[in-house]
Amino acid sequence: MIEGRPGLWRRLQSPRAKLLVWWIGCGVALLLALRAVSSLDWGAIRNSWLFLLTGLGRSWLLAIISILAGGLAAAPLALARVYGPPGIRQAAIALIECVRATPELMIVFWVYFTLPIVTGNQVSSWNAALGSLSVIAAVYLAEVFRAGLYSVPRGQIEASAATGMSALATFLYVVLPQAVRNMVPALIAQLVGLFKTTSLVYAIGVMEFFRSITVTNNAVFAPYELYLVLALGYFVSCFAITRVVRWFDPKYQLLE
Amino acid sequence: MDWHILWEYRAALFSGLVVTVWISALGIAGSTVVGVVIGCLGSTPSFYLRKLTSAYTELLRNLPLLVKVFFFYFVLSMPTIPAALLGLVLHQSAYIADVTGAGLRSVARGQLDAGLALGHGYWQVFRYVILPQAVRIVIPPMTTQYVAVIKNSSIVALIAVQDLTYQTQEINVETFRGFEAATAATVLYIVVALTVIGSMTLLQRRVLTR
Amino acid sequence: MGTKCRALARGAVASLILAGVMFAGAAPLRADPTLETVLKRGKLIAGITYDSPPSGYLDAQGNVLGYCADVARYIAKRLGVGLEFVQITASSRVPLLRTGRIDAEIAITTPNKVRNEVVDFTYSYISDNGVLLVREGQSTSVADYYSPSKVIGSTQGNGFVASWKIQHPDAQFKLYPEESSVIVAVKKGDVDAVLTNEFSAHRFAQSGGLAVTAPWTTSPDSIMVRHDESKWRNWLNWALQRMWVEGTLQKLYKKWYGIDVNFRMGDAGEIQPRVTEIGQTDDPWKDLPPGFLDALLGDKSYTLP
Repeated sequence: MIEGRPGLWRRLQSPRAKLLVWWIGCGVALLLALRAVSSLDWGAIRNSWLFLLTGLGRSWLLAIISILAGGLAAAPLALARVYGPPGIRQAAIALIECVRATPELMIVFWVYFTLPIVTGNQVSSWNAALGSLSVIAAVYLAEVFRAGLYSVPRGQIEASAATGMSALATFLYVVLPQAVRNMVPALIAQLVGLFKTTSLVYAIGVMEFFRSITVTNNAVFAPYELYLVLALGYFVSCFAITRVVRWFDPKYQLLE
Repeated sequence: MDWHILWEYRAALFSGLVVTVWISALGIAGSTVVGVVIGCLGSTPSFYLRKLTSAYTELLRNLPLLVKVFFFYFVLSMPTIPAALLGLVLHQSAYIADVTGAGLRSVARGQLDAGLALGHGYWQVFRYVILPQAVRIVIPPMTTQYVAVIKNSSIVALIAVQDLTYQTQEINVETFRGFEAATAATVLYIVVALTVIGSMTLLQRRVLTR
Repeated sequence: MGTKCRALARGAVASLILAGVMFAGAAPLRADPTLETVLKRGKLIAGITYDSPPSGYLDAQGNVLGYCADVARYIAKRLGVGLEFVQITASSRVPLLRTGRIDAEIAITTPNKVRNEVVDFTYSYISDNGVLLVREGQSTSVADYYSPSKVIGSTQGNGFVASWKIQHPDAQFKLYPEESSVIVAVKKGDVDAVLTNEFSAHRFAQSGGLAVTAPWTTSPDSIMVRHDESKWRNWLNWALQRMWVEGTLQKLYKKWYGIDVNFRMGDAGEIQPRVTEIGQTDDPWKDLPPGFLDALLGDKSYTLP
């Protein structure tokens, strides 16, 4: 029997055809959504786009600064947890687990309302937001660092010891570079997670994206349009960054 | 430090704890059901199912929980508890779906082929070979997700559901003793989380010794 | 069992560590003299609400508008310092003030005993009332909302809540972190009535679908300052009285609230004798730049530096 070109039905079942059908479906859905959306009154918020964009920028700023500050705090925590002597290791574990089990909103309220009264120091809502987000970032980054340190194969450490390298040299020149390389996707994923968490600081009055939306709603009362902008702002930001991560490391599973 | 207010407000703290436990329990149950179903659907050979489930998880994971809850509460005008629960369930189910999918995939593919080669049907292999192994693998990450549900339940305080976080704020504004209230609430949250972690560990032991 | 015990032990150790850190850093609240601090810093940091039109609110471009904002601008100019606004909410105003983040809370706070135990107040500069904001079509008689079957909404930390609770101990409340959430809640029916002040209620009702009841209580509002700061509080009281003598306060009141002042300023409703005499050192009272007063009373007062 001569093998001719497969029939149309078989061709439609090939992966490329399926992908095409999927994208056509997405396009149709997008067109329908645009039609529904265009019937809303966008003029109401035309004046506020700069204000909202500033809010979005502030959210990102909060996330980036907190990741950096949190990273600085997380490094000693992670080192204490992996390499520390038994007493310090338990304390580090206890601190990390305790903060991880506390709701993020609770941490935000803590740092803003209660910490200042106890310590007598003033704290603005921006600083309180940074502080609480850094604390949240620190505990999750401590776990990321720990996973990174563990991800270096044991064989490497043993080989270094066999060639006579000291423990410190092994850590600095063998473990650390590989650990950092393995950690980059997870770090960017934590940034995305923290960016989403910045929406919580709306509760203490920081004029970030979420709050700028509510304030604009107070002024012009256009909840549907503003909500769409809100969802789009967060979705596009997070989606773009996660795509970048996936470009770096296609197999990475983002479970943050 | 005036710890007496904790005793004075014990009824408020207790009722807040009850609300938190209820919402967390319903959230855990709901998100597990939805998440596991979506995760299983995402592991089928069907191309479209996999694409749809990945679109679902992508959409829900790139939006903060607060945005989802506010959507249901303010835009769709649902009452508070259903809006909060729906937001919570949708949020966590996306993560649980990924966890389930990863768990199913990590069971060696050879098991599926071996089972099929022995003449069993796809669903039979799934039920008796893959599922038990997957359940064992999936329990630790599931525990993390459950603790996340408990923590995320505090969001409902922002739409005036009287959970533990809400009561903390109430005590703070009535007595200006927020520090004591926040400490008590944090300890209670940790207790709830530890209970869940403990039960899951017990469950894991049970499953392992089968 | 071992893992659970270890986890519990971890929690206990962590709590102890946390408590230790807290107590180690414990110190008395700020007691620096505010007037000197403001003058030295060259900037007045005023706490203001962003969601209580027309007293203090943000417009869609992020400008701070309102009666309280303009009073703050005037005060800063008389002190000869710059101005910075810090947003306050009902639940954050007292902590922000006590921890020194703001120098004064120039908003719509009513003095009551519980607050007076931790902060101090100046003379009233707004004479407001407490009303209920309800959905259009619902009863506008306050008595209809006494029953516990009606859900009352408000912001956390709102003084009206405490007063309502005293009169109706079995009332049901739903309290939100901020005003806009409460307004949306009443519109969609999650709460039956909102406890708020009359001036803001009328503004909110303009957005449609809402109605305002008659007042059920009075609500005189003052500027809030820290405890034991007589110098600062005195100066603010003098400033308010001088604004009154000048006529500026009445004009601002008319500009924002649309009515003539319905109260009297000062001790027992009388201006203190000799309050317009500028003191020597602890009484800064700079001249206003030319054109400032006109701009303040005009529409674009938010453009003032």
